[in-house]
Amino acid sequence: MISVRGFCDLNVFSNGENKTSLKSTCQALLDLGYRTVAINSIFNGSVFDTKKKKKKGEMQEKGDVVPPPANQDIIKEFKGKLDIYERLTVSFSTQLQAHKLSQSVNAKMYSILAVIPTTQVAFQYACSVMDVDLITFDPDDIGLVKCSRKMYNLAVDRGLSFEIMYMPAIRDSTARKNIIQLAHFYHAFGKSKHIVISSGAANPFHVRGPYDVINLGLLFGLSEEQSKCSITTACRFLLIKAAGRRLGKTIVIANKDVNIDKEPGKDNVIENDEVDQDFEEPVQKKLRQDCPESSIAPNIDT
Amino acid sequence: MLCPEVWNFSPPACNFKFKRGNFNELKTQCIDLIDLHHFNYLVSVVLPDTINVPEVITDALNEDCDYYRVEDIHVSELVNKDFIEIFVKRGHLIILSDGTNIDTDDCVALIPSGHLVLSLNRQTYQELGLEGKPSFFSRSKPNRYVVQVDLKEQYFTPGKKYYNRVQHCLKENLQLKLNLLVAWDPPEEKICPSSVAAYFSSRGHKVLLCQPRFSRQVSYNVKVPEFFLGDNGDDDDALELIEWLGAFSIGADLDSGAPDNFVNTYQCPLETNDVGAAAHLQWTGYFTYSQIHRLFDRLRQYVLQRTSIPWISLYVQGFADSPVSWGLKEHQFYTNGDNNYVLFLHPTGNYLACSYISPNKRPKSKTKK
Repeated sequence: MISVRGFCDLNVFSNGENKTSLKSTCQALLDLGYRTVAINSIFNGSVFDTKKKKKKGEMQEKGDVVPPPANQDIIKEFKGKLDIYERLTVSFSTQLQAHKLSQSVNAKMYSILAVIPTTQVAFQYACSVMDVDLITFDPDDIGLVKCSRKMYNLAVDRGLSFEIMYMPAIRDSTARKNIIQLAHFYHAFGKSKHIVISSGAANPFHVRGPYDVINLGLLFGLSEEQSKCSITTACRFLLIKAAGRRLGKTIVIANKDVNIDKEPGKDNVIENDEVDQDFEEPVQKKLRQDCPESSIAPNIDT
Repeated sequence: MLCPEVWNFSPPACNFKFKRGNFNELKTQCIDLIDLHHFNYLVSVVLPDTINVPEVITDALNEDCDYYRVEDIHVSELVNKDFIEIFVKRGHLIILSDGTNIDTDDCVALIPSGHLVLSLNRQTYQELGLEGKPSFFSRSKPNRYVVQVDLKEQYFTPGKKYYNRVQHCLKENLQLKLNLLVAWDPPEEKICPSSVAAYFSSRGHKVLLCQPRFSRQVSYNVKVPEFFLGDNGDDDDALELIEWLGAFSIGADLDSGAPDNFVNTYQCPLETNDVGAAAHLQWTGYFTYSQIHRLFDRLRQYVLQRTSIPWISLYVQGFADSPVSWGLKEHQFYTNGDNNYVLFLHPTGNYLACSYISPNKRPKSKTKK
């Protein structure tokens, strides 16, 4: 069962090479009071566009374009102190790229999947159909993506979250304008529901303490309660939803054990697309008080 | 297009409560302020016009104020029947979980009235299975729940359904191991307070003895504000005095606060008197309310002897991460978790008490447009 504790920073930038700055960033976050961190790998979706015409005799390139998560050593190093997740951010502009992304095997190995839609079509596709967890944006270039109330509410109803990064606002004034503009759009169109604030930090000088980020959220148009939520409960919601997305559709049936001698599993029917060996329920349900505990665990026919 | 208002922020909400009276009269006593504030971290006393502080005052919180840190203990240990009979029902026991943040982690507190207060995250609360209420400071979707168990109740004995259920839930459903700060005031003089430490170490837990830290400082040529502690005093003047006291206590430079000073332009707005010296005493540790009460009694007797002293102050700071502030009142930490009080004593017997809780309201859920 996923338990997300403390303050969360779900965007620590990693370009795959510099491990020492990543470690020192994680250490800085730990010292400031964060307990949950996600290491982000950014990926440009335009590599999904393959050549349409193939010469005869040329083998089609096989293999996944998306690199697998490569930060397991850092996760082990901070085990017990900091919960580190792996996150993939893909920028895409067409539905074809989105489709290729959903077929990629390595993309499913990441805990969180985020997208940067660069066109209006892509944004609509991400909000309405695409199976992702987080919608974010490139701070240096917003593009022509226009949010609308209908799209925002559609995304929120499906359980998607929107992200605001604060690190680019520290380093660059154009990025700062873009970030504040988009944050105010989210407020205007969506009343700032399901907003996650994260750092996007690449080195330890860019991170800020959790209470400073809460106060910064007030500048982004969030209310006091939403601001505190954006680094605690909204992140928790996102991580649990992402776990649910990875595990697929599952059904839990709880039976009362009338007779232990009977063969288990006769009455249980499990419909699934993908079922995992360790059964995880994405949303914690309140346990019934009068059932004996042994019967709550579901019986799986494997 | 609706634009959020991001230029006119109000200062963080803080709540000052003033009380004036005479500590010789029973009707206007301020005992509740001291006796219901269970978790005290820092105590500081400022004595203007004093160079030699009597031993009686410095020893009030230097002797017999040891506390213990029990490591890696499970919460179900606190509902053992013999523990309740020996320590909870007799004397005053305070227990607080150490190193847990009230806004992100699960916290545990035990107060002398016998209530065990658990302040839990939503997930922990749903797994636990005991009845509790959503936190007062949460709105529609609560993230924090408070479970209170009265250990001194008659029906809280083994064999009864309620006790069995509580013990079962705490043992089975809560995998939480905490470090606890423990202090016990025994009911009689001849019982040693360290018997609570002996109890925990006999159950196999690691117990560390901790002692309060004390510092004393005497400053010379100090200009101390005059303050008239009549019944119809002004609250703003009281706030100015408290601000001066705070600046003095941290050793700020209050003399050169002229308008053209670069660093500090603070000038005390009240009338000041030049006294020879002022003493500042500070203790940090984990104090029970009875120890603070003892200090308060000694300060009272001292101030009645010194008729020329302008005032004496006693400032007590509570733990920012305690689940309760006064009595069973729930405490929250939004960006600040202060729950302090300050008492000014005058030689005539009048006093001014001010209690301060930093965030006393629910965080706002709507922005201004």
